[in-house]
Amino acid sequence: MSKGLWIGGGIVLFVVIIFFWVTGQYNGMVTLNEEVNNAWAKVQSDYQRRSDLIPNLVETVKGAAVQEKSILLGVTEARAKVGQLSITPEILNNPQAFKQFQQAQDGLSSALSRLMVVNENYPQLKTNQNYQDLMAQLEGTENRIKKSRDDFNDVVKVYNQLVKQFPGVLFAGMFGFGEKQYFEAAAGSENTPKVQF
Amino acid sequence: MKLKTSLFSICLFILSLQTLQAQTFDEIVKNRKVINDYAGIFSEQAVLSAMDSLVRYSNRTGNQIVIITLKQIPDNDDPINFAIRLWKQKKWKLGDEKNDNGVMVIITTEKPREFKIFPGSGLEGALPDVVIKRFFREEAVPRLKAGQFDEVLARTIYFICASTEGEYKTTAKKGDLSLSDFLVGGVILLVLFLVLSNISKRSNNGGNNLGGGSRKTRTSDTAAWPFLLPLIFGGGGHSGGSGWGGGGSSGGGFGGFSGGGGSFGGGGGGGSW
Repeated sequence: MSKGLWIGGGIVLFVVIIFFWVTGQYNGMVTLNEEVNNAWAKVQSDYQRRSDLIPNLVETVKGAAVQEKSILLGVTEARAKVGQLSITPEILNNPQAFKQFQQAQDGLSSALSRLMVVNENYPQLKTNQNYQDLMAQLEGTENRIKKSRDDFNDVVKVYNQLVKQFPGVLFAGMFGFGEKQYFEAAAGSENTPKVQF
Repeated sequence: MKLKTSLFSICLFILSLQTLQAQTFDEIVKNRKVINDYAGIFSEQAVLSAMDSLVRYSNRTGNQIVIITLKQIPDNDDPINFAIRLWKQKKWKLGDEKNDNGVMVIITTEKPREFKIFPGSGLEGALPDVVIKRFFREEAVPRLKAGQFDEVLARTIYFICASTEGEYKTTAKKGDLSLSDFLVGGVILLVLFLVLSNISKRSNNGGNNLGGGSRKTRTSDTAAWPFLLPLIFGGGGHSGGSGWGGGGSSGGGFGGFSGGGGSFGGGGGGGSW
């Protein structure tokens, strides 16, 4: 009688412990997932900030009668491409979509840096207050992007460790927490527009 | 003789190499001061007065400003990466956690000569990129080029302080504040109560009162207050003392202030000079 009670109690205790342990695992994943989404939103808003600066920049550069029309067109097209992309956090689970996103943003970065190089040849741009202000904002925005991408990668790293390592890996699949994508310092992504006066 | 002088000059050369040796990232991290003049471009007096005003400014406004001069950024990094890395280190989380109100100024003196002002994410509004750039172009560059570094230091500090002043209220810790507020409120209430009960006592004494029994209890109540008063006042004085102690220690330390957990969002700017 008392033996059965002990065994029963032991089983109940075991179940309770397992329950709390699994709950802890699950909540940890939820929290980290939220943090990743947060960091992603920050990356998005910084990229958006850059996209918002571009029309004004293009107008100003056009105003200075820059001859290299193809480069200006390249910037506009790269920006349009970025605008078409899906930016929901779901793309973090999709390596292909994420890669596309990164490629499009990097494409815009390099189009912009080409424009910066060309602009060096136009002294009237360098003395244009509007242009200078835009450059300052663009430079700051590139820095913010760098920082938010950096933060994003840091959070994803922690998240992925939890989801891919034992024992998290046992539950990650069960609860639907997949591995997330990183930003990679792809070739050319490091040459953010160098703005020098 | 000739050999001697050449030996001497070689020794000098080696010595100068030693002093020229760049700081490593870890060395910079370890010794956080308010003015970190590794390039040695400021006069001693300028450093002292700048340090004094920055520490006082930080105590008054909570905004933490740190200046770093280097010959070169360690590890061939660019200033923004350096700032991001540095800002992650424990002692270098400038500003406090809630307001992110720190500012990091980086000046390098060897090519590419850089001058950067990086505000924490809470001060990006007070120090927009464009305004920093204008300051850089119009005020900093000419003086940097002329080698008037003390002047650059003074103007930079003035520019940042004037822009960020009043952005956030005092640095006093919330707990301290609410405790002292509570005590002050309590004391005021007490005094009010005393005055009121005195008045009522007087009116009871002077006026033709009706309930003699109730008057008696009232006077005995007020008679107890003077004994309670020092107890409560004593408590107030004590907590006030500890509050000042905290302020003094944060102001008097070598580092001036400890990084309070503020974060950096990548804002700010400057350029090469």
